[in-house]
Amino acid sequence: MITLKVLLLQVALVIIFSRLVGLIFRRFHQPQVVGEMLAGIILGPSVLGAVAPKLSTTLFPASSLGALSALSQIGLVAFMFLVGLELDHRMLRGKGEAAVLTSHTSIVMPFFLGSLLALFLYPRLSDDSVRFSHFALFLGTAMSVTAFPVLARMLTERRLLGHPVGALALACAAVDDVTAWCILAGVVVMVRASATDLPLWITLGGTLGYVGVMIFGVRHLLRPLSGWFRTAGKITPDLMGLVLLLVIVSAAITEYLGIHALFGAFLLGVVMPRDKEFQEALTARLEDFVVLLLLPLFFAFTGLRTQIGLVNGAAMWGYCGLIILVAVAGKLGGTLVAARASGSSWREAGAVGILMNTRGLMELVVLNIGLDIGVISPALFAMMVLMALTTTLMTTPLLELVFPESRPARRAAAELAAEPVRAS
Amino acid sequence: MRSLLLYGPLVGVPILGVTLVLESGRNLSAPPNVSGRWNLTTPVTVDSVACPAARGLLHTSGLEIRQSGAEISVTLVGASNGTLPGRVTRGSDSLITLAVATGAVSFHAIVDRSTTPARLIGSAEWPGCGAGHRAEIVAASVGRIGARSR
Repeated sequence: MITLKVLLLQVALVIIFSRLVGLIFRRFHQPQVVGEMLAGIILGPSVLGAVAPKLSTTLFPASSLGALSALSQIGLVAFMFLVGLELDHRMLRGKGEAAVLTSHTSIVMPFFLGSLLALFLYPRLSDDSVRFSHFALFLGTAMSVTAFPVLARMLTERRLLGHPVGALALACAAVDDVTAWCILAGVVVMVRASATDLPLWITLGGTLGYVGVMIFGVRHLLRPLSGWFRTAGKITPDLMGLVLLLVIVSAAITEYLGIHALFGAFLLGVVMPRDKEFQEALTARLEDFVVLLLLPLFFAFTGLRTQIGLVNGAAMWGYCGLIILVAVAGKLGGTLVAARASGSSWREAGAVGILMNTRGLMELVVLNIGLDIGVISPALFAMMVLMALTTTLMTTPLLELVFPESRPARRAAAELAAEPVRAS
Repeated sequence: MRSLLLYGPLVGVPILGVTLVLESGRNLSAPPNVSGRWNLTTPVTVDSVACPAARGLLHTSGLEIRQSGAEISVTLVGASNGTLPGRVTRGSDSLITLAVATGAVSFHAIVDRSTTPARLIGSAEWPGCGAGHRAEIVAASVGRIGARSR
């Protein structure tokens, strides 16, 4: 049985390691999340488990994974609430034909290529407990995800939010993520319905009903929350407690319905009042605790489930390379073609494609769900984690190569040069 | 207007492609599933004095099988042997063969999925101990094989 001291040691170790590795990657202008992803893999069986198995077993005994998993899931639930909260509905509409074409292509092209790849991978990496349709749809979904939160942060740091490239990429990423989550919810429903005793009509009907109630009912009922915030001038403990309770209840409902708790948390974030100051205050109260403490636990838990050792032999590494190739071709290539066809220059279209190719944390969330419901095997999970890491790592150097304006120093210099000379 | 015209080929064609993929993959088959936890139903008897390498098997309560395609990794729960790599092949719809072989131990088993719970009957041998050192292993699956949790 896991002892408290082991759990506390694990949490401390994960935080220290994540910050250190993240710091190293930030020196190379990579997002912190890349370092945290890698830190999780290093702490897992792929590196620490291979190099020092006894130390690995002592630090992360099998009996402790349940507690770590629970903590990381709570962190994810809170994080997905923040993702839904940050989603700006205005990004999803009124952006013009070009944005609609680019965003829809950036979903369906990788989805199609992912499902095509499933024809090749299914007989090699799956087993007969998984239907081909579920496998193909999941692979398609996993290929079409973009890391909306990481992208938003990248664009903010590089001051590209106001640039047409940044605005287009963010709008497309928002549409991509909402669509990918809807498809993933459908896949989870299909897989679980065939594996459990919960009737499909309960899951499907319940989910659709719940989404309807949230969007058309609860959304209006939550409006007073921003009023209370404005009256008090801050997020009071009572208000914070109420919001957290709502997050937990919404997550519990979707978990009970047979889809995943994350959808409920995301949905609640989406229907919260669209009051910018209220959203920012809520995010500020939650973000540090979630991002600095709980999310690294999720990365560590993912790393503990990632067995790169299963990717052994030329054939397996070949499959892994193919997955990365298809992921990049579908997302980067598909987005580039659509943006170019819509009138962007090659450079700008390339930049949008590169940004959309960032998969980061959202990909890991999707993959963990896939592993949990059994639609992907441990080896395929490891390959897809490597794909997520690779596509996120390649974003910064490729973007700076193709779109030098994105370099922070260069943009700051350009803006400084554009300022009028002040009289001394 | 241009974007609207491009919508068909750029969005419509891939969507059509997905439906074609799902249709053509309907008859694809994947290796048989044997993953999950298997609890021993009879104790393992082996002469661990004559064959010390077999000692680990005496303390095991079952097998944990992880599977990716036809590749499996078998862990003896409670033993210190680590994880053994192997392969699975289909003999018939319900009978499946497992083969695990490392330098230290070889393990062969037949899985019968027609019973509930599924049954695994096999034997382990230790080449380093010479002929005659063999352990029979009989185990039953925990839960439905192929049905993943949640």
